[in-house]
Formats: sequence, C-alpha cells, structure tokens
Amino acid sequence: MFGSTLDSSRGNSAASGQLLTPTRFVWPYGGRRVFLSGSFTRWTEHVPMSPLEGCPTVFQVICNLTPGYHQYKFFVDGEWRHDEHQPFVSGNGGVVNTIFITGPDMVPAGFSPETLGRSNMDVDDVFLRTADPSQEAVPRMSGVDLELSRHRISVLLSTRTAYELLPESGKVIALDVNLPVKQAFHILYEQGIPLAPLWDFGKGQFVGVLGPLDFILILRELGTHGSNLTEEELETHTIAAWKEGKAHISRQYDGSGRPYPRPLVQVGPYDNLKDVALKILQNKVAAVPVIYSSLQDGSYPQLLHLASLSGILKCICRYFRHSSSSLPILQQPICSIPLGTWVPRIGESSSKPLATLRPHASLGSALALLVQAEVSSIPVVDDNDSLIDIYSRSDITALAKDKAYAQIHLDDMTVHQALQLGQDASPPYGIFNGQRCHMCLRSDSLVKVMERLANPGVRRLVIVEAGSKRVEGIISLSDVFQFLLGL
Amino acid sequence: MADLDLQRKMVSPKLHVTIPEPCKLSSVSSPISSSSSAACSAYELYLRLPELRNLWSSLYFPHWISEPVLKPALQALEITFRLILTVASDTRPYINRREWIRRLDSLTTSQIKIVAAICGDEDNYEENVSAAPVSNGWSSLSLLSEIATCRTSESVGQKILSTIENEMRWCKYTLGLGEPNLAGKPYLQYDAVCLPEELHSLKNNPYADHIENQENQMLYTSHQILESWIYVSVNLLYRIESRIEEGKFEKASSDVYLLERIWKLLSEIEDLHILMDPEDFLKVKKQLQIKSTFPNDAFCFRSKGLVEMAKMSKELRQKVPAVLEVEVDPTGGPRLQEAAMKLYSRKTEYEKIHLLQGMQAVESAAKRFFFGYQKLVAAMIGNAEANANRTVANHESYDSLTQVFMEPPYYPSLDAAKTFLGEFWSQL
Repeated sequence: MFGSTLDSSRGNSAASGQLLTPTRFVWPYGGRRVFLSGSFTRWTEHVPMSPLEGCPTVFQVICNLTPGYHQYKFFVDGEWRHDEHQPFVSGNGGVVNTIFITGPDMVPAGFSPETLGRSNMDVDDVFLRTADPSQEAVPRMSGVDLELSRHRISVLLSTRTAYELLPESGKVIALDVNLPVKQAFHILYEQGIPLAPLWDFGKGQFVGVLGPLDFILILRELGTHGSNLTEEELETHTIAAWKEGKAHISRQYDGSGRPYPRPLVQVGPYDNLKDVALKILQNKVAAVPVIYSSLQDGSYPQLLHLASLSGILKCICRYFRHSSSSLPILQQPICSIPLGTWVPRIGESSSKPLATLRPHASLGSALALLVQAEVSSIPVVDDNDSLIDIYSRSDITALAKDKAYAQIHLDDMTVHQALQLGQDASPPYGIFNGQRCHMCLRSDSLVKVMERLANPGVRRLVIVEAGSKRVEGIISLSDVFQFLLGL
Repeated sequence: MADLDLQRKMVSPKLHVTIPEPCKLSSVSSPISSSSSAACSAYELYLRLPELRNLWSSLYFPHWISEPVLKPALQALEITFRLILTVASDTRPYINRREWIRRLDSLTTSQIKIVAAICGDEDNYEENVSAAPVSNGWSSLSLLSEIATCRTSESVGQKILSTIENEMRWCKYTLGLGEPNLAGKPYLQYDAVCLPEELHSLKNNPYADHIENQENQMLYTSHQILESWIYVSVNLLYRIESRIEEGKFEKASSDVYLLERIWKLLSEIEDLHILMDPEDFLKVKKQLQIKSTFPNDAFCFRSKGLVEMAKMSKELRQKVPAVLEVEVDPTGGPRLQEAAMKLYSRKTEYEKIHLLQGMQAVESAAKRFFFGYQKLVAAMIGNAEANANRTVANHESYDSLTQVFMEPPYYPSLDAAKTFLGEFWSQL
C-alpha cells in the first residue's frame, strides 16, 4: 500500500504527488448550518457539513488531508467554535482543534469511535503539555487502517495451521489422572511448566488440563476451616478426584455458574490459527493441547503440542517483520488504540477496573483477586502506585518447593514473601531475559508490544509512566488478540 | 418558470426576507423554501391547481393501492396529449414544430414508461391485480384518438399507440387508448380513472381571454403536466416511507428508482421552454408579471408541490438508520458508516443496497434538476435576471437555487462509507 514510491493505482493522490488521506470530521453539537474550515483549506474555504441521516444534531464531512499537522475549527451558525472533545491548542488566533496525519509509513488519523473516549483525553493532555504540538502529536488510527490491518491478519491466520506452531523438537508432558495431586504439582514445578494435559488410561483419551488455577483453588480449600480436604489427603487424592471436587467448588467461586465438567478444549494440527486463537480466547484458557488422531473416531490420540497465543503472535510478528507498512496499525502508539486495561483517569468511568496489590497484602487476598476478577496477574505497587513486581497465577507453583504450601497460612503470608519464594525457586519459565516484570510505555508502538509479548513466558506487559514507573495499565496477550481479531 | 406576480397580487420585497441579517456566509436557513405566500397563490391560481388537485385526489377504487400514484400520472399523460394538440394547431409559422413534436413524443414515451413501471410493479403483488379496474372497452374520451386521426399529428399519434403497446408488454392489462393489444389483455377503465373530460374542462388558463400570446397556453399546459408529476411524486414518497417502515425494502427500492425517473422527467418538461419563441416568451413573461422579486427567490420555488417534493426527497435520508437497522450515535461515532460498509461488502441483503443506491440516485437527480433549471432560466431570461452569473464570482451570496444543488451530501454516512471502502480497496 503506502510505498516509498508513489503508487499510481492509488486513486486519491493529489496532482502534486502527495498522498491524501480521507479524514472524517464530526460536529456533534447541533446547529442549523455548520461549516468546517482549517489550515488545509487555507482558512479561506468553508466546507459545508451534512447532518447525519436520522440525527440532525451530528454534522459530518470527509476531507482529504495531506500528511502533517493540521488545525481546524467549526463555523456554526455564524460563530467560530472548536470541539473540546477533540485535540485542541490555544494559539495566536484563539483555540483551534488539531489533527496529525502521518506520512506514508505511518497511519492517518480519523475519529474512530473506540478511541473517542479515553485516548482523546490522553491526546489532549499531550498537546497541552508541549510547547510545539507538531512534535508530539499522537496519530490516531483511521477506521480504514484498522479494518485493513485486521483483514490482513485474519487472512494470514486463516491460511496457517496449528501444525506450524510445533517446535522442531520439544517435549510435551501429560499427567495421568490417577496421579496424586501433590505429586502432580511437584512435577509441574520441577519441569517448569505452568500446566499439563491430563490423560485418562481408562478412557484412552485426554480429559482435561491441570493448571495453576487448580493449585490456587486447592490451597484456598486447604485454608478453609472445616474443609474435608486435608494436607494428608493431598498425598492420596488423585487428580481425577480433585477435578470432581472442583466441580463443586468452582460453582462457589465462579459466579457465572459455568457447567462443569466441560469437555476438553482442544485443537487438531490442521485447524487454522484463527480458529485456535478464537478457541483460546472464547474459553479463557492459557493454552490448548494440539491433539492428533489418525483415526476418524478420535481414538488413540497423540498430544503434539500446547498451543498458546504467544506462539501465534510470534507467527504474526515473523510474517510482518519485514513488511510492517502493510499493517498500518503496527506503528500506532498503544495509547491511541483501544487495547488493554487502563487505570481510569479522574472523572472517567471505566468498565474494567485495574486491580493492583500492595506488597504487604496477604497471599490469600491476592489469590482471591486472581480467582474472582478472572485475571491472570496483578501488578504489585508501592504507595505511589509505582510498579514493584507482579503476581501471576503461575507464580503459585513456586509454593510447591519444599512443600512450602504445607507450612504456610495464606492469610499470614504476604505477597512479598510469596514472590521472594518464587525468586529463590526461579523456575525456568516465566522469566525472560532474567526479568520478571515486563513493562512498556504508553508511547510504545503496537509492534514493539507485540514483539515483546511473543517471547515465551511473557504473557502481559504493564504500562508504566516513564521515570516514576507508575502503573498506567496492563496489556495481556488476549487483549492483543481481541483487538487484532476485532472481537 | 411560470411564476407570477400578477399586478393585483404584487407584494413588497420585504415579504421575501426569510432571515433578517445576512451573515458572512449564506443566509437562507434551509436551502429549499417556498417563495412568499402571495407569489405561491398567484402561481396556483394561474395553473388552476386547486381544481386540478381535486381531480388528482378523487379516488374511486379504494382497494386499488396504485390509484393515488397512477391516477395523477395518467392525468399528466392526458394533459400531454392536449399539449401535442396545442402545438399541432399552433398557427405561428416561425415555431420549431419539428423539434416540438420530437420532444413531445419523447416526453410522452418517458411518461408511458413510468406509467408502465407503476402498473408492472403492481403485477408483482398478486393480491392487488384484481383491484385494478379493468374492462373490455376502450377509452372514448382520451385526446389520443384525436391526435392519431388529426392530419397534422397523425404520425406521432400512431407512434404513441405503438409505444403504449410496447411499454405495457410486462403488465397484466393495457391502457385501452386504441393500441393494437395483440396480447388481448384486459383494458384499464381509463376514462373512469383518468377523468379526461373533467381534465380538459381545465384546458383554458384564467388569462386566456385577455392575453394574446400563444406561448401562454404552452406555458400553462406544460406546467400542468409538471405539477401532476409532482403530485405523483409526493404520493410515491409517502409510499416509499411506509414501505421502508414495513421493512419492504425491495418494493421501496423499486419506488425510489421511479422517483429518480420522475425527477429526470421534470427536467425534461422544464426543458420544453427552450423551444418557445424567445421574444414571445419574454412578452408573456411581462404580461404575466413573472419576475424575480428577490435574489433568493427562484421561480420554481413558487410551486409548493415542488418544494415539498424536494424536501421529502431530501428527508428520505432519515430512513437510512431504519434500512441499516442501526441507531445513530448521537456523539458522532461512525456507526451508520460502518454498517453501510458492511452492507456493501457482505452483499447478502442486496435489496437494501439497491434501496440505498436508489436514494442516492434521487439525491443526484434532484440536484441535477435544480442545476439544469438554473441554466435553463439563464438561457431564457438572461443571466443577469436569473442571478446565475454570481455563482462563481461571489462565493458568499449564493442564490437559493445554487444553494440547493451545492448542498453537501444528503447521505454523509453512505458518502463516507464509499470513500473509506474505496480507500480500503486502493490500499489492498
């Protein structure tokens, strides 16, 4: 699409050879006659705006803009007005709205509905803080670029199969359902894996997955007085028996009343990657087993791999590494796209609050948050909201070391202590480049975020403020996929 | 163009001022607005519109849903026959008779095509077919038989008869005006529907006795045709609205395309002016006291019907959310645009695509009408009086006519959907 040389097939290139970007301007505050004027019309021409079909108070016009920084203002019934909900600056000639259209390799801006709320405020902020707005102007994404990028990713994922996720060599570990729970956790801990599929010899098939959530639930159950599950019982309690018991417990924790047991979520090696990603997202699981059976009825299944979003993201990053211009949204800073969970700003309501923990909070409360908020990790912050560490579901397996779980009481141990335990244990997974906490800045581009998330073990990035490390939000692998797939 | 300020109805220009203070930009609140009421009623009286309106709206067949639309259409056709006879009997040696007959033949053909489309549309709905009043007999009152037998107009009359035969091919009945009817179809009760006798009693305009000018009759008759079609359109617009509300998008789209054709027909009718003798026309203009009293007052805005038709055509846009089945985002989000883009690219609900395309076709046909009208007026009375020479020179004082055809898109969301869809494909 946007090449360094001018593509003659692009219909809207101006006579001067400059690329023009159609940009939507909206005035949603009524009026009888509304005009748009701006630096792009040299402030002389007033472009009449049309009231929207079925809504006479919203006026709209599409203008083709050249890349760069533009100022504009609305002329409403004989009066010059600016929109306070769109970026604006105060200049010599009064207050004007501003827009930045990026050049060939970057992304044009438009008023995307998703970005209107939150990120606009951010953009305003940027403008107000800087002396020269053109330096810091944050490009916003146009609906076309978003659609275009989603289309390309969708095409790519639909044509690739889960088979391509398989490493050239590697091992997969499955656990027998008749294994005692305790032993199972020691295996997970020793092997350094967060979860493992469960094999039922009797049925001759894979029946489920054992993961950190199971361990969390078991620990909480142990902590509950009057529980019929005791530490001693762990020695004999099999995974199968636990799963049965979990069906009962999960109804307590899981407000959704999800019916249990559910069938094993699995994929075949010839399923396309889009289906795999959708399956992971829809079932809210960390990974799905790739299971192959040469027979029609699915008997004698072979476990090939555990497919996770991280592997699929790696595939996307690899494919678009050298043609990033064909995915225009990749260069977009993350603060300008509706991605991840953000700490709401003052006066803003947010549908998804961002949970954080203080280091002295009890492990019990941390686990309760992990289970109830249906999140996989919680940033640990100090009194200034600066990021210290992060507590994830998978950190729970660290307690398997030296049977630590047997000695502790969830409400007596702090998150800080639990994390210390994890650091000593330092299992090989979950740590990439020796770093536990992976961070990014709001100004980082989507491609940078994606490349970091594609590293094994990195399941989320905490967005921090430069310098203070104040937590601004969090972006998880599934956030990225929900955005890329337009869910 | 036959808009008149008859001397006894002369009004001061003050009455035309709609907005007191012309601000820096154009001043008229809604580009489409009627002229002063005095000018409008002078126009109505001259064309005997109150009496014509009675004929258009006298419905005798309550179970026949096409009657409100078809009746005024057939009446327009019948008045066209009268115009053909008027031209054929014009005694002035210098008129361009050949071109007149050619144009009137073409105009008649366009009208028969639309009539046939209305009748053909009816055929799709079995339940209504029986409701159309048909019989075995021909019309005895239509002027077409006179045209087909009169020495000076015989050939055009025969041509019209075969046009009827051809165009009514897809309908279950035919008009019964003397066409061959080789298929042996039943005949519409033309005389009972169209009321030719009553129609022709309105043949003479109120000033026929004291204005000695044959262009007066041409002007009068052609505007009666124009007004009849405007009446058809208004009824058609009501039908489009209710069909969209009922979710009958396919039927609504066929009506919308009919409306587009009528807008084009109106241009064709207006263009007859160019065949009038220039000097006789300017004389009749003086005799009828037609003049523009205010820069923002085009002659055609004295027709309340036309103003209503234009407004309703524009207001069709309010139905877009209903067609796309989304609600508008009052904060300005592009919900409609995105819904339209999806509709266009999925291609599953194609009757909706047809309907929305038809609505945009109506917009362009309407704007084209006003643009053509302005050029026509300038050709007939000179640019100075038509205010047409100011459009380029003085950007800020557009006259009302220019404002209509320079108006921003009626369908901003469909417009944007196409822009961004085009952008999408140009980048792919």
